[in-house]
Amino acid sequence: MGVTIRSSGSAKRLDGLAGAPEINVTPLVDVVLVLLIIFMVVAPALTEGAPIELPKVTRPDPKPKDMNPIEVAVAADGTVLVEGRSVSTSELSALVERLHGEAPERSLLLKADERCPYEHVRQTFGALQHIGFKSVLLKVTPKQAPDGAG
Amino acid sequence: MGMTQSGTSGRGQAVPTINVTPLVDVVLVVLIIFMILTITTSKTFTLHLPPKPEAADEPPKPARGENAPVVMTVDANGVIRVNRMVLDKSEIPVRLPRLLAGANQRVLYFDAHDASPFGTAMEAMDLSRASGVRNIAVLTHEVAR
Repeated sequence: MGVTIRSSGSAKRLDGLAGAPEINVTPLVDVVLVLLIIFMVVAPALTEGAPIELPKVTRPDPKPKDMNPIEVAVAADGTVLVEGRSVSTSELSALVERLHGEAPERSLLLKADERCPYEHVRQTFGALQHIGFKSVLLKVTPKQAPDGAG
Repeated sequence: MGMTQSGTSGRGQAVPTINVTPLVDVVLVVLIIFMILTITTSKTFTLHLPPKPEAADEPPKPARGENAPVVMTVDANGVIRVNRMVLDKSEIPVRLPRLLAGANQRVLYFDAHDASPFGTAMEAMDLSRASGVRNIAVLTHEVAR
């Protein structure tokens, strides 16, 4: 990133110029780090510009089940996205069926917005059931249980 | 942040330069740590899907009494019903396990009204899991009204 010109060797040095020009990289690195942190915070919540608010759950699964699932998202307005790409209902079945056929061991992770009407979520469940999935992982945000119930 | 003396000016002064290599190393390691953390801290909630109906399916006979399936529904107003009986949220931890045990069932079937927000449906499913229900299966045809 930074350019450093080193005046090494007496042959290259011009007698009239004293001191080598230096770019101070510290502010640059500061800005880059801040940008990096901002993107790290924002990126997981963004899917093609539509932020998805995950439902909050007190009892998520105890262990992460699959590190590389097929990701299907349902946005608040009912738009369905497969692996970050917006698809129609008929495309959803075809695309997920192809992905499932290529790698049947990959489970399915559904990121549904908590404001989305249940109708769209149920339609997605129906499509997945017809493809042959026996279970679906819902992506959720963990929440503290009220007064430690259970 | 090491200071390296690289070259000298005409008067023999040291020119300080910042060695960014260790900084970049640290940043990369932090980035990798965050990437792994985001993968492992994202939580999931497993739902089962009932086996898909066969092509020449006849509507299953509704079972009565013992071995009848236990179905939880959430209506448009967020009212939770279990087998058409309205249950208050505070009653669920006590009564839902009894209903399942009484019907000799281990799976709770779930459906919510079309217009009900997914968050409300999820809350009911979370409450069921907190009450000790291990297997929740979502119905893919509408039963909640």
